[in-house]
Parts: sequence; structure tokens; C-alpha cells
Amino acid sequence: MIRKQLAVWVIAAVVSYTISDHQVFSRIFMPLGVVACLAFLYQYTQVKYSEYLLFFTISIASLFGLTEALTGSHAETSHVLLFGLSFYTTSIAYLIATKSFSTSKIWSVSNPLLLSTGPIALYCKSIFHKKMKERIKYYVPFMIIGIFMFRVVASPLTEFFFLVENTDLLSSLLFAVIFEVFVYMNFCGLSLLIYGLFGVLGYRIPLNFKQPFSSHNMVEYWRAWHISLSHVLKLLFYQPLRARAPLFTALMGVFLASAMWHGVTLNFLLWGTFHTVFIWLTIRLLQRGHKFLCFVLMPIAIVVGRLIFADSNTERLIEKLVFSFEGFDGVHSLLDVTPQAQIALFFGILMILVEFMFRHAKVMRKRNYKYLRTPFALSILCIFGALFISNVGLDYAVYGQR
Amino acid sequence: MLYMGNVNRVIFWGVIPLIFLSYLAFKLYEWRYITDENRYLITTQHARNLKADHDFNCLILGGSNSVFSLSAEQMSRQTDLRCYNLSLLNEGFSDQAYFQFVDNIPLDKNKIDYVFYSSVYPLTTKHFAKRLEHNQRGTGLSGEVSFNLVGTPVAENFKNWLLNDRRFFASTRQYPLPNLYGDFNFQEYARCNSKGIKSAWNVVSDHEALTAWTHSQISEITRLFPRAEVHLILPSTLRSNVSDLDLSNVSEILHAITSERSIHYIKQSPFLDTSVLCDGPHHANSTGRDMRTHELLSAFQRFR
Repeated sequence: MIRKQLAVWVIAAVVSYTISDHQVFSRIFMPLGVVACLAFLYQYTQVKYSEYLLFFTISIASLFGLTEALTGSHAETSHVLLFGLSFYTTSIAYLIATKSFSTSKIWSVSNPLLLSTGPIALYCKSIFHKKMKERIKYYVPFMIIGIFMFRVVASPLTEFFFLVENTDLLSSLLFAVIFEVFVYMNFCGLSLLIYGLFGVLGYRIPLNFKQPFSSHNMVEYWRAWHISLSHVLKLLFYQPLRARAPLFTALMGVFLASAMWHGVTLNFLLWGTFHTVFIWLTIRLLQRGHKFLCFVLMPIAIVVGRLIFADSNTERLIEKLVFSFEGFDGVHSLLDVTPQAQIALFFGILMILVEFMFRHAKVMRKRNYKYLRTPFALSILCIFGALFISNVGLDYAVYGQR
Repeated sequence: MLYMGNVNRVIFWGVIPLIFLSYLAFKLYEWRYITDENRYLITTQHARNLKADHDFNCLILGGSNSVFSLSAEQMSRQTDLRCYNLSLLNEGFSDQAYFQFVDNIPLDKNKIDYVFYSSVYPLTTKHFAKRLEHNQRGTGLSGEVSFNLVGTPVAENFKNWLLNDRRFFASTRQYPLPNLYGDFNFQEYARCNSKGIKSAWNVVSDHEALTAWTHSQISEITRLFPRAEVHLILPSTLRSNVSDLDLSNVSEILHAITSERSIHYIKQSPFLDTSVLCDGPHHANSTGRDMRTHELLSAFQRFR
């Protein structure tokens, strides 16, 4: 088993090294070294609450300016010692909390591909009992969808990033919507790509997204977004807090921990508080049977939440949150980008609309992108992908090595 | 349902791989049409010009902004300087390539009294990032003419086919050879079309990287031309979308660095509309070039 894990690690290292802009070996071997040290250290010491210390390591690094806040722009650290820190520390924290961390987990936790894009390695189960042909048939579609989302849709959308500077109501909301599409297509695309690749190689890792836009309310949305992190937050914060404190406090604990994981900045503090209030409100409304109201609250929470998430410049963020309407000039900026970026935006919005509009369809029920994995849908994605894939925009992982 | 299963199998194992292979074949075929757009010939022409005339005491260095928008001939005619425009398109793609080219050019570096270095990189986040990437990769003067799986979208080739006389690939652009002063020859360039030029750039926000890069450029220039009075220029561009605050932040950084390094700093005013542009927001046409060169000379006279 260890030999197979090592083989996957080596393949991931080769892929990671080849596609990386920097092509530095230390970026691949340093996390392996650190994870191995932590594994041996844990085996002999087993310090109490070490999972919390590990979870907040990235927050401490962010507080001291060693890593950047994860606002969605390229936040890759330049400190070689910190490569992949956010993912492997969270992964180890989860494994410690579930009492399953041991030296045998070193290879999966420090896998270079998982560290460069996510998801958090909560598990890495062998599926070698399935034949290669079966694995290709099931997992290659995820890779095709992932490549389409990441390369055809997300990368050209970076052309719209100049909109972050604008503080008027329309431009701010427009940017928030485009940025939501970008983050989803980038992070989900890479997660699906990695999920597919690991599947073909013989390992099942967590499916990090489950069609979040097929949700009816914010509770469902968060259950389907960055699932690996949600699992960790639930185990480390929600469950212990909920056993001792009221719902609002438990939710506040979860979202503030999540905010600090993303970066110790004022906008994330605000983002955590904002989502706590909205999710608490949603739960209360659902308990009273106001499903429609929750449905209406969802897009507001997503868009305004993303607006806060995306801007770590406090002064500019406050200006945006004044919501001053200054005309429709913001719409013209949609024309100030290349046609590739406009087409990418069209595809991104279309995919989200399909996910949302047909959420009750049978093919959508499992929320595992089955509607895109049908051979017909895949061939459509391949045709459009082949026609529109370009080198426009920046291709980096939103949740990159930090 | 039985037939449906067969159709799905054909699509998955037949159609999808066929789409991928067709794309690959198309890209390989397209690769045959990629040229360096005359970049290499332009560098040899510069070498020939400078070998023939040793009398220059002033150089214009930089990228396409100064290729298109500054005239060494005009500077030589309107002042007592004897200037040559040694700017290259894309500034030679990487700093190593560009400075190596300047270093190897047949020119007595000690005879150069004035260097005007005009680079658009501080004004462009994306191009700046690309520049740093090219520096790491060591991309050369001709750019990336290697095979790229992802490049111009295939849809654009179809558009060409519909609009361009049933030809899949648009005729390749060929930049004209420079004149005796190294200036861009607009008379031999028929691709000036200011229609549709947009101002959609962002100034560099990574001030640390910008500072490091600027210091490195200045060090290279002062090493190559130890006797020269160096002028760092923030070029004219169409930049109506750039916020004044961001621009002044970048400008202040450049100003501080130039003061520290005892060289001069000239911030040129923006192009106000597309009528003075050729084919990009930083590429002037001949009228725009006259204007920008004139403004630069006025600023330069103030230092004398």
C-alpha cells in the first residue's frame, strides 16, 4: 500500500513540477519534510489541542505577514518553508481530531497536487479493486469538466479583475458576481480535475464541491462548497461549541475560524460575521417554515459575502459597503475586456444557471455533476472547449500554496 | 435503451478522443504559421545600422512603447543630441535577452552620454507578471515560437475563415525594419487601426516586485553605459481607466528610486484619445509619436 501511495506521490510531484511556473524542487520536498517531522513528533508527544494549534498555524503566519490573505488573487507564498501550509496543517488537524494521524499518512497529506490546489486530504482511499477501464470511464469525465471550468471559463475571467478598484454600487456588485463565478470555476474546476486524476490513478479523495448553486438556501450552499474544509470546521469547532453554547455562538465560532484560516484581515472578520448572521437567520427561518424567504436571502448573502471576501483593502471595502449608486457606467466595463473573457463569463453564468434552474431534475439529485458527465454533455464541453480554450488570463489556483 | 448504451459508448470512447486528437492536429498545423514577426531581422538591422554609424551619443531603450512612440530622428533634429532608437518589441521578451542584445551591439558604450529608458511594465499588472515569468524562463528575443497546446482560440480561426477570404489563418504580421535612426517605419506598416483600442490595464500593485525590478533595470543600464546620464520614463499610454491614486503610487515609487540612484525621472502625460494611436494603447501612430517625443524633449530640456 505504501508503495502505491509513494507511486502516486511521485506522479503528482512530476505533474506539479512540470506545470509549475517556478519549477523548484524545494516546493515539492519541503512540505514532505515538514509533514514527516510533524508525524514523528505527534507519534511521540501527542500534545493536547495540537489540532487547534495546527489549524491556526496559517492564521499566525498571516498575522505576521508571512502569507497573504486568500482574497482570490494570486496568494502563493514566497517562503519555501510555508509551501502548502494551509492545506497540510488543516489536513493533519483533522486526522488528529479523528485519531487517525500516523506516519502512513505522510504521502497523502503532503501530496504536491493536493497541496497546490486542494481539497484538504481528509482521506485518500485505495480503489485499486476497480479495473482501469472502469476508473477511466468514471473519473475522466471529472477531469474534462475540471479542465473546462478552470481553463476555458476561470482563467479568462481574470481580465475583469480591474473592476475591484471601482467602488460604486453597480460596479461593486458586478465584480462580486464575476468574482463568485471565477472562484467557483477555478477552485471547483481544479478540485474536479484532481479528483478525476486521483481516481484514474487508483485513489478516491474528497469531492470538494457538490453543485452549490443547486441549493435552496445558505445552509445547503455551505454544505456543497469547499466540503473538505467544512468537514474540518464541523469537527473542530461546530460540534464542541454546539455542545456547550447556543447556535449563534457555535456558528460564530465556525465562521470566525474559517475567516482566520483565509487570512487575518478586517474583511475576513467582517465576512465571517456576515455569514454567521445570514446562516443563523436562514436556520431560524427554516425552523419557522419560511423556505421562500431563505431562497431570496441566498443570492444576497452569496454576492455581498463575495464582495466582502474579495477586497482586503479596508478603505475601499468601506466605500463599497456604502452602496452609493453612481449610474450605469460599470456595465460598460464589461466591454473593456477581450472577447475571450466575455465568452468565458457567458459560459460561467450559463453553467451556474443550468445548475440552478434544473436543480430538481433527476440527474441533478446526487449533486455530483452527473448532468455534465453524460457522454452527450461531455462532447458538448469538449467541442466548446476545443473552440474557445485560449491563453487569455492568468491560470493560478485561487487556494494555491500558501 | 440498449442502443442508447451503444451511442454513449461511441461518444465516450470514439467522439471525445477524436475531438481531442483533431484539436491537437489543428494546433500542430497552426504551429507551422507561427513566426517571430520579423523580430530577429530587426535586431540584425539595428546591429548593421550601428556598425555603419559610430556617431551616436544618445540611446532610446525600452519596449514597443518606445519603438512606436519615440523618434530618435526627431530628437536628433530638434536638439544637439545624436540619438538612436534601440528599443525592441516586447523589450526583447526578457531582461536577460534584451540587455544581452544591447551589450553585444557594436557600439562604444563609453561614448553614450544620454540613455532614455521607457518601459510600460510599471503600468501593467498582467504584462509585468508575464515579464517576470519570461525572465525566469529565459525567453529569448524572438519570443515563444515553440509549440503551445493552448494559444489563440480555434474559434478565432473559424472567424478568419468566414471574414478572411476562406483562409483559416490570418496573414502573419511582419514588422518593418527600422530606419537609420532605429525608428519605426510607419510608411511600411499597414496595420495601424486605432478602432477598438481600449484602455483596460492595471498598474502594478506588487510594489515590492516593482521596486526590485526597477533597481535591477537601472543597475543593468548604468553597468552597460557607465558615463551616461540615465532618464527613466513612465511612458504615455491610453489609461483613462487607471485610477489617479494607483498611478501616483507607482509614480512615487519610481521617483523615489530614481532619486536614490541619482538618475532622472520623466512621467509622460497620457494619450487622450485613440486618434493618435496605431494598434495598441501604448503604440502611437506617427502623429502621436511626434507629440510624445516633443513632450519628452521639453521635459529633458528642463534637466539641462
